Amino acid sequence: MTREALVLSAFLGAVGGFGALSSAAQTKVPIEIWGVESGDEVSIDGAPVTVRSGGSPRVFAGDPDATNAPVLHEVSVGKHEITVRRASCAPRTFVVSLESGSKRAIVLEPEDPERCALPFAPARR
Amino acid sequence: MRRDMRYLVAAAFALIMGGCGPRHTGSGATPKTIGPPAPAPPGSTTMWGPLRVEAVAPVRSEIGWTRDFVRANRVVAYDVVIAQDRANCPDDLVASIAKTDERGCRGVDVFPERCKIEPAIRARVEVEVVHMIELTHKCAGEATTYTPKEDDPRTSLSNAGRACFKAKNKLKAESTWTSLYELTELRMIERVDAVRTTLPTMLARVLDPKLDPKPKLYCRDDGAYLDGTAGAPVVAPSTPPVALAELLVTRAARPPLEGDATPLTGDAFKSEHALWESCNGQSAKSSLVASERCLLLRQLDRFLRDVEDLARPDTPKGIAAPIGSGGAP
Repeated sequence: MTREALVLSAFLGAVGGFGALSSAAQTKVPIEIWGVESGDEVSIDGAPVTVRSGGSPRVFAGDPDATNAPVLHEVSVGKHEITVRRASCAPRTFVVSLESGSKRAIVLEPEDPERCALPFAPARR
Repeated sequence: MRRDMRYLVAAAFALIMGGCGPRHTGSGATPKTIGPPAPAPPGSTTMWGPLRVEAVAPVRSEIGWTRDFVRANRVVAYDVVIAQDRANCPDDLVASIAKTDERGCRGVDVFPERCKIEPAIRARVEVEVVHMIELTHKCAGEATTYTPKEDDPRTSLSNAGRACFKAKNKLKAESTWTSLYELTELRMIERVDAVRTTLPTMLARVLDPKLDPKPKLYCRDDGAYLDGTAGAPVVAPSTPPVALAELLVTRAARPPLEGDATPLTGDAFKSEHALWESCNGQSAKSSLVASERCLLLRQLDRFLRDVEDLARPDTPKGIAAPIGSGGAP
């Protein structure tokens, strides 16, 4: 392969990579999380996300255009791990799968403080 | 009018419901972990009682399209609280009281007084129930349903909707055109598609009320007691039965996130307008499940509004639409 061909292939590879990144960046999907309480900490794929609190009540009502969800975060299509940490409760981690360009709404149910402190069943030892 | 009112109604509902959200403050207790049993004193052996269910409660629900306006899923997560007694029993007693379950785990159904019983072990197991929601679209009065493209359902549904709007209104004066909300008929079917849990066999056994007398189970699916102590060899995991979803609903402590028919259609087709209207009823507003389904319908409703805009000549979208693909009927 000539030097020119190498340079050209590297250039095309870089352009292709940039194009792929741009395409991936465009397919962001909103995740709404409702039922989050004051003081709760939420992370998505290990990164903490902003939890909005205060002001008017933030109750899920099936609004397709809601922008006042306690957590509103955009992620790429695919699987994402969400962790919710609440005082006096064992942390809870779950996976959401986003398969289309439409938003996903998650509603956390109010938990019994005694029950939510119980640990999950440990692994076999 | 209804289009303008929906956001006011939603906002009012949000304000009204704001005071009803059952919220609690934490007990301040530190989350506990479950440790292995302390070594049994000389002359005694650690034994475990049967696994039992203490509580079932929904903890999370989520909804979203998996294929825009054609297929969605609703996932409901439950916490199942499992309890198991643990005790140290004299060795001379163990042989006469111990039983072996179908997995080969040894346990004791009822501990005699000579056993030193510890506080019951309690742990949570999460189960997810996946409900598949499928939408079929058709033009009012037509027998055939739309066939959305697998890779681009929005475009094909938009084209079909515009064709429907044009065909049904082409001989009418513009003032009498029927809206696409009325012309679009939907069949919305929901069914349990899968149950996800790591311990399906154990849960099916301890939740099933029909098993009477219920054979005692001392170990989880992985052959371990609830505290993780190995009790029998590991066996290959099994697929959770869909019937487990019904058992969870039956045992749930508070109104479950299942079984609410609003605003599904069953096998019949209903106009999008009628379904949308049913989302404004009180039963739909007071039910999380209905609110979630109505979220899907409202997203579809906005999509149809855009499609109708494309099909009407007097809207910016209609003017901009390619000739032959939209515009006046």
